[in-house]
Amino acid sequence: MSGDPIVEVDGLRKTFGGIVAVDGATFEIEEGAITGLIGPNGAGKTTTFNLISGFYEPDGGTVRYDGRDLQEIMRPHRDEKVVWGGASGLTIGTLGGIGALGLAGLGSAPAVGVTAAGAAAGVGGYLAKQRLTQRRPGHTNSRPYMLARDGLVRTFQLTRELGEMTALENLMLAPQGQAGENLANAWFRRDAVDREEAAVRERAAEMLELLEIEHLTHEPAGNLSGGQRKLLELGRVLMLDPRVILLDEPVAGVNPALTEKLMDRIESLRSEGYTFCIVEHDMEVIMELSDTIIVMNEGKKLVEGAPEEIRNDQAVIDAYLGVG
Amino acid sequence: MAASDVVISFMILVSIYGILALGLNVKYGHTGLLDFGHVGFYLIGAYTAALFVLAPDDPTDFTTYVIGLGELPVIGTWGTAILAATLLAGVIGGLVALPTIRLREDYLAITILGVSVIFQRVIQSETWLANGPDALRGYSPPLQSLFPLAIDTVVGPLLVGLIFGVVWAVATATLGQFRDADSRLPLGGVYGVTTFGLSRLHRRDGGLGSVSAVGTLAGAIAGVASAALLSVLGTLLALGALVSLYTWFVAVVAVARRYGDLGRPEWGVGVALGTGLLVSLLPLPVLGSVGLKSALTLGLLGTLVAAYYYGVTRVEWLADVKLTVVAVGALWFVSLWYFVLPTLGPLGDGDVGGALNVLAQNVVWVLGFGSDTGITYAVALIGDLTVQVDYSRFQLVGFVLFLVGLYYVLELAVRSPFGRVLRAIRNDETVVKSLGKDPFVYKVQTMVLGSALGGFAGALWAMYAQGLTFTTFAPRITFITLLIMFLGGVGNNKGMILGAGIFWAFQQATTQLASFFPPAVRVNIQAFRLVVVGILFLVVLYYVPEGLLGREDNSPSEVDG
Repeated sequence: MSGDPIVEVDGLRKTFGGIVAVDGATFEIEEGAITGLIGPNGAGKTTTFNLISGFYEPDGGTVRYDGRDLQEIMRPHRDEKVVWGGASGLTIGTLGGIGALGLAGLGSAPAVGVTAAGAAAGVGGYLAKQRLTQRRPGHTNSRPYMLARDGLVRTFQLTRELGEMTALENLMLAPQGQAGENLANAWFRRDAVDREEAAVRERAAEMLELLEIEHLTHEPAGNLSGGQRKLLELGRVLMLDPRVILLDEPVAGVNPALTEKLMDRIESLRSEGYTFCIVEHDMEVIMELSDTIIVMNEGKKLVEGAPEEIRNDQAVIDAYLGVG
Repeated sequence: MAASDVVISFMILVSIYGILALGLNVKYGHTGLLDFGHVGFYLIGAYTAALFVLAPDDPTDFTTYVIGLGELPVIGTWGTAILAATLLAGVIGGLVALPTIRLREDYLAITILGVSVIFQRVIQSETWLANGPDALRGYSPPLQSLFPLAIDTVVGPLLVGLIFGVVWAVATATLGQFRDADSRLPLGGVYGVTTFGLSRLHRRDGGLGSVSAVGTLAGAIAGVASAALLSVLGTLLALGALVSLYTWFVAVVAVARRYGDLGRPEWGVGVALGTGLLVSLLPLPVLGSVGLKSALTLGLLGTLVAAYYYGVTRVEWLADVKLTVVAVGALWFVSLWYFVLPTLGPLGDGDVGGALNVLAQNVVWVLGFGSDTGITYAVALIGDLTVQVDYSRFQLVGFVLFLVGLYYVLELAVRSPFGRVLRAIRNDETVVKSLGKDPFVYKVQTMVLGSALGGFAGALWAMYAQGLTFTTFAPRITFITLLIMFLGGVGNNKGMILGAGIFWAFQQATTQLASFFPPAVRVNIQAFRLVVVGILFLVVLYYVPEGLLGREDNSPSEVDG
């Protein structure tokens, strides 16, 4: 447990029309700890989660993950720029060349010139557009998959299992950088892909065993019960080898025995060095699990502290009971 | 036309539409991108291929087109043309996808429908581009000038060897799969003979030992052997008969494998259905009056459908096999139509030799009969048979090869981790994002792949039709492809081939039926069948929404040994 903050939220704001869902929330999530995020309905917990995980674009404030701003992480990388700039140049260049040769009836030398000019215009246009959009005030990138690649993952309040795919496939989807996800590798480097696939399958089978749902390995995820889906989702994010896991109501609708099991899992994962941030309405669970609890109300952080402090805090009791 | 010629042209169309449907299936079936403008990429493929093989535009005639590369070496050949058609359709599919793919599925569908109509209108109105509203003609399919094949040259036996070799390879690979999948059938001996002993390689895994590799090798041997035998002995009829009988054997094994487990009652119902269909169609050739024969036929058909409906809704054991008995009935009906009906005419005249002659023509389907250019053999009991290898059989072999190859390539793609991401996108895009994968990139790749397949099918259509008109590429084609997809089973590549088969069987059947009517009525029947296709679409969506084969199980449980 290093205790350093890994996620820093500063003055985060998000509005939906006239409703201010998150209104200047400021807090930190410590690395290697379990942070509970609680608050009455409408306090802005899930919206905060969506902002931290990059699914929503903030209207103000910043989120820093591992010392870097989320916007910086989600910005297009250099290799992406090369691909898209190249594609843009190629397209406009080709169209220019065809136009010069076929339509305008120019000779081959001017056609080559037009093609080159078109290619340059394509690349330049793409880069200029990128630069302009990135510099526009208030521009935000919404590319949450970039965060997941860097180890910041989340689960969903209403489980989002891939219903037509089996439990095993749900897990096998998650690992990053699988060679077989590239079509060219899937066709031309099948041996390597098969080897990797066997390793991924083994890991997924182990994960199912760990979550004690191995009897559902080949069951379509849509047939799983609510609690089993929660487990499957947890397993799926764990397959990513993340650093920070944002769990949105992990035990909602889960029976007590399974809740107990899930809590044990989360505890043991914490001791393995994973960082958790948990939104949960079940007070028993959150009090038992969390190292630190952050209470939100009306889009702001109300109090922060150890479970015992929160239990006795008058402001928290007032917020929950609605006493002004 | 002999029944075998009808089947040949049917199978050519099935391969074209099968490839077209495979493309749409990548988009909708695997990734969930609803594309109502698939025909646009088919159009691009067809016109691109045609412009590659056309000779440069002659300003003095009545056709104008922008460019004709046909006289250039390599570039102006069909190989390049198909490749270019595929690539260009893929690239344009990708370009269309870039701005539109962010739309939700029904909006995406309508947008691409619009794009495909734009393509069609451009072809129609831009007269300089591809002869505008008039047909673009003046090119011929590859190697057509060599046909009918002369056996006494060098090229003739080689091409025949190629055709027979491919047929042999496909049949052998199919047989090999049956043998592997089903150890109850005693196929080991036959398989050992038809693979020329290569079946022993099977003991090893993958590589040379795979079923497809053994089949290919056996086909190569068969091809070389028949080319050699032909040039030395000239026994075209005997070789053709051997190859044809082998394919019939494989077909019988396929039927036995699929329906061999059915009990007698099920077979009985199936045969009764098939015979009933035949009986209800009998008034067509027999009766003279149009009103009488259509009334009688429709009445009998209605009775048959009602009896079937009554059976599957009231009889419990029949309800479980309601699709199977229809399949058995269809098989029975097709067998009667193919083998028995053509012999009835000569038999009625008491001409047994003639009947056998017709039967032989249909059995030996790899050879064309009845032209005056072929080689004539005198066969005991049957009489003279004039045989040749005609162009449509050559074309069919090529098209089937393309279909099988593309099917294989696509299966590789959808069974890989790439295919898994596609299925995940169809299920829930947000999950894919939350797991660190960019759905946009995959959706664009899907559009490129599916559209490229559409372009490939278009190039084959250009080759088959030998002339292109913009009216062919109406949105109708997209909806026919959608019907094929839903009929066969969304997300099931095998289903695309089955769906294309059923659709074109329906088209061919109605064409044949229409020929029993006077021309004025015939036109109405041809128009009316589009209505029937629409109703068929509704029935499929309502009663078998998952399609005949259902969604294929691509889960890894199948793969691991």
